[in-house]
Amino acid sequence: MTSSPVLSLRDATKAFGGATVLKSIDLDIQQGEFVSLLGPSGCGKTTTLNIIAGFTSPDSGDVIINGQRVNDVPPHQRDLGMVFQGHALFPHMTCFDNVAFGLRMRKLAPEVIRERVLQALDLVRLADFSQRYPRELSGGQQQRVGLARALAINPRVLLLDEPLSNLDAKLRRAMQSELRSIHTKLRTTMVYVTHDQEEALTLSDRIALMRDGRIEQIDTPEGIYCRPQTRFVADFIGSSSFLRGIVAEVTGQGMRVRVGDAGSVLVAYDASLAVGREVLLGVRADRIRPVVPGPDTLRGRVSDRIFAGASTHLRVDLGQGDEIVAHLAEPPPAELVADAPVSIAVAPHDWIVLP
Amino acid sequence: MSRRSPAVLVLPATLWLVVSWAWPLLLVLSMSFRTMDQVTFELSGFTLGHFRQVLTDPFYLDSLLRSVRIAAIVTLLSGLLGYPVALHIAQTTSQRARTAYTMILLIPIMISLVVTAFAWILILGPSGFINRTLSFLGLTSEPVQFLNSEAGVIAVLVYSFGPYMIINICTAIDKIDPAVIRAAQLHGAGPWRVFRSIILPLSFPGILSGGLIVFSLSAAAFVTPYVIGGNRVKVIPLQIYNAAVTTFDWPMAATLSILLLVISLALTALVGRYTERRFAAWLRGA
Repeated sequence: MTSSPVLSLRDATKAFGGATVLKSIDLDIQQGEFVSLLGPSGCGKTTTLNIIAGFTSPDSGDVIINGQRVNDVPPHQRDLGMVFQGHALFPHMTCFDNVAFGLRMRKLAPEVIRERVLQALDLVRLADFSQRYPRELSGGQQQRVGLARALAINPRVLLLDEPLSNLDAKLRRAMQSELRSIHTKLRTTMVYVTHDQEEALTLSDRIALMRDGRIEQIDTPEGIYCRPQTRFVADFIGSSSFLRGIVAEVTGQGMRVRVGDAGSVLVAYDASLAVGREVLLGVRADRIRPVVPGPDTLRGRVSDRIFAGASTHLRVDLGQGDEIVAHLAEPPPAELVADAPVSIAVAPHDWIVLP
Repeated sequence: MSRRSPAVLVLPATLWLVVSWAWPLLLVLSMSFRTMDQVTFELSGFTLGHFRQVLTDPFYLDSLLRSVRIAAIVTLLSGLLGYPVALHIAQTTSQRARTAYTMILLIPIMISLVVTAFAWILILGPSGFINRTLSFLGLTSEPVQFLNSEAGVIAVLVYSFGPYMIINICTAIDKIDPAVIRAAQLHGAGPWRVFRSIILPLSFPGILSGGLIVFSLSAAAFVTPYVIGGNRVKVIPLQIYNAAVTTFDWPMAATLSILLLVISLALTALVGRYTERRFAAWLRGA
């Protein structure tokens, strides 16, 4: 990505009544990219979106759209589209008029408006509903009209503020794939705020994981999932266990890390970590296997075994307060019940090694 | 508790309404069709004469038109003057300021209309505040006659009943989802378009309900026309009073009362129909 970004935040900072909610946010979004702002509530993701939209102005720093500083440009002149958490359709207008709203504000010719409204409604498969009022539609349909309204104006950037959080799980998944196919088709630049990691992982080209007003890591979904750079990221995405260890030796295959009395494990080589260095080991629950005792495995005792449908969860006590949770797709041997001794292994590249 | 308990619970109120409201209303209705002997006060026969007289005699017809005209002007002025106030209050975020505004709005409603009317005499009178200001500014050479005039009555009615309009509009604006306004802004509407296309139409039900209240109260107002208009601005409630108390023509008083009631009911029904037709689709399930 060498072209100049369509949307940038430079050192954006914002405080509300003494509490700093955004601490020097830097963000570059390329044309056609789908970027999610992901994080727990209160991390600043919605404030970031509001600053991009112009509903909130940053205390310091710049918002740049298409290379132009827009800090002082009001929302209605920023040429953005937005889908809201609670659809926010105009209740007194039909679907057609809702979708036409932005086009009418741009003073387009009636026949152009008509064509683009029907096109947008067609895109969300609601062309037959153009004369209905928002209240006459289901939640999913309302949100699709909201999407059509935002897309009809062909915005430079489409902002989405947790648009699916009010829908039930099944509808949410259907809308996710619909959103994905629309993005693939139109390549509209999208900024998507969510607290749902699965949603962010499935939809995004890149995810900006936020915490306490900062971007903790911005990366592709694979990067965020497989190469988290901080414990927070590893902890927030997926289900992970963490162990303290000490780098014991560097071997031909990688590095050996000792985990207390439970044993030692082999991890991928990292030049920045010297022998004797204390590290934090993280591992995804689905990357752990119970094995026969041997070298480079960890010994412990089963403290709980939980059947969870698609997988079986095994909680393993490794002593000294260390505990690890494994999600096993294959049901483990029947003798692995509470208090049974167990050995576990993880492939070297599946260990997340954090300094 | 049995399934009948809700019905049992509303029984006292129902009885009270029957005795205090339905029964007198029926009496008034029946009296409007009777002839009364001026000497013995005895009611007899059945006649449509009173209604015919009211609707043909300019004396009564003028009052009827005047009542409707005054109520309409008061409603219009309350809406025009009240809307910006309601908008301002609805957009005030400080809780303290809102409480203060509410108190100010409630004062005209809480103070007796008689007290209000007499206070306004001091303002509108020949040597009152307004006339003194006008002559001080050199705009008038002699006092303007506000008292005993329709204009004076309208001014005081707007003051007395305007708050109902403001409160209704304010409630309607408050109910607008802020995200809807943001959506309009982001999709290209400047402040004026947001008002014109979103806030005004969405607060229209508030204007209608406020207007209905203000119109009905103004059309039925007695104290204000009596005190400010000095029995010279002849509105229907004043004619009812005169017929019942001065000339003892109770059937005529009853007839005028029924007509006033019919006007208010007809207006309510009309507004109801209009609301139903125009807003049904988007208010459904609200």
